[in-house]
Amino acid sequence: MNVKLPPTISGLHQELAQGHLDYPTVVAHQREQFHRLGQRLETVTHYLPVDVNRGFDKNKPLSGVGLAHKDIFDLPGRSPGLGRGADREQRQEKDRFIPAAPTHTVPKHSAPAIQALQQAGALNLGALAMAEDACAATGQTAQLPSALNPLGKHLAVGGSSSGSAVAVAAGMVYGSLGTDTAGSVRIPAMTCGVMGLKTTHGLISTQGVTPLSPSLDSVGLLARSVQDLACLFGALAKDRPIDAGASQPRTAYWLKGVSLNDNIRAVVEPILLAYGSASLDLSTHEHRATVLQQVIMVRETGLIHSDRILSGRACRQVVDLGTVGLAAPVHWLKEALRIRTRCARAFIEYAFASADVLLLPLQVASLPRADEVYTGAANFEPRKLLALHRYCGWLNYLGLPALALPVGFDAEGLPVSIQLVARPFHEHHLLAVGQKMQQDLLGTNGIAPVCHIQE
Amino acid sequence: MASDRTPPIEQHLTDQQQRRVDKSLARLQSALDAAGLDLTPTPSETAAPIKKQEKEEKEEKNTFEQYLATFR
Repeated sequence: MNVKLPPTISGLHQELAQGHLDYPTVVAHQREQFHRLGQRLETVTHYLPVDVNRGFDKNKPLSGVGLAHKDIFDLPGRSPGLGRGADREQRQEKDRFIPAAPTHTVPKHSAPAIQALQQAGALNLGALAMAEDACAATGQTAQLPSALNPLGKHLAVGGSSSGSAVAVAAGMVYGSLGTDTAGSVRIPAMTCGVMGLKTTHGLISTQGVTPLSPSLDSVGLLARSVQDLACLFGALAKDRPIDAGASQPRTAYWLKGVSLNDNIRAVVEPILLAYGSASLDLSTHEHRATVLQQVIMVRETGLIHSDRILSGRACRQVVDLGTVGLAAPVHWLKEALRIRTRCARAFIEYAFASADVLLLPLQVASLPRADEVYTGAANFEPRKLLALHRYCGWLNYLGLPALALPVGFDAEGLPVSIQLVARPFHEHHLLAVGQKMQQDLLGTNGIAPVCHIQE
Repeated sequence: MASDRTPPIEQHLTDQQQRRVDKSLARLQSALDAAGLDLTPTPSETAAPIKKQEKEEKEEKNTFEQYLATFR
């Protein structure tokens, strides 16, 4: 099918509205592309039927826009796959020594977040690969094929929303929903060189989304341009603005005491200095919030998955985290939650006293190869795996919105990303600064689709 | 979420798993110490009945979400 789709959602809407593109052709092309690349990149876990004849609706901003989402969201008649293979469930069933919790009931409806996008006209093409139970910084899976990075087969895909980043980067979809508990939207976005927005904790409903650590989980979005993120965000958070109006938000940056490899610093430092108006030292806040995030995450993961851990059905990452959580003193979780408001208030009063958006490190080293960060691989280096989420989890503890943004390329030509952070419910500030930086550094349309993996 | 009052995990662990858990907990405790964080509850909190503790945890979660909501 010889169709060239516009690079952005608003471009597609315009072309359809003006009659330059035909709705059934657009839908059929996206579906064909999704199937073809989905198989090549091992990134689709479930294909959904799409009504080609529904017709374009000019009043719906996402009419005809092909999306697909992490396999953690409820779909009508289908429980999330969660990156689990059927094998483990079946194999372990006869070996169980503790009765498991009742099976998750089959949902009747899509998760509200998916419903909101569909009400705006978006198509849901399928469910996407993810790290098992959303509990890993890479997309490595034990029971299912691991999604491949369209930038190069040898490169790791970050997790846990791995399939979302792959599908967006390869141009299989305009955007995708993921979830972020300790970086699970921002890390895959970073490794595939696309944008990833972790929203304010509680802003987007997590109903119909399988939890990992409910106090930290947030729904997030991935796209190839900031304006596409804004379109999707507008459909999800109807009561929130998507632009900052006439005033450009004030900025500050954090570099002091930050650990970045030299090749990343060479790209990031000039950009932070150019776009950040003031320097802040956030080390103490980051240090405390990182530890408190870990305390909450291990405990809540243990509680959420206790049946699966005790019955031997949980994946290795859930066992590793959750077992520690179940053995941790019970009062740790209570205290970590009790002082959370105080920590968030102290951080916000300091960091946002004279800035609206913070420019912060996200990527500390060049993108790793899969065999360096996938556990059990020949050249596995725990240090490189830890580096993937070094500066992520603390922002989940503080509940703040964060935007992963590619800002340049390292000496090997691989993308380098930073993250922008705003006050709670101020995603419009992130989008405004992100749009300006994208325009300057990447061009009007953001990232072009790429797939270096041949059939 | 599942109940916070799960049975002790220790009885399900092999010696090797127990050692790994102990090591991870020690690492977390060190990180807490290094960050100047003491998560020990006050004596009155320790003595509180489980129901009351659960209620307090829910209220604390609400407080955080209410604080975030002030920025809406």
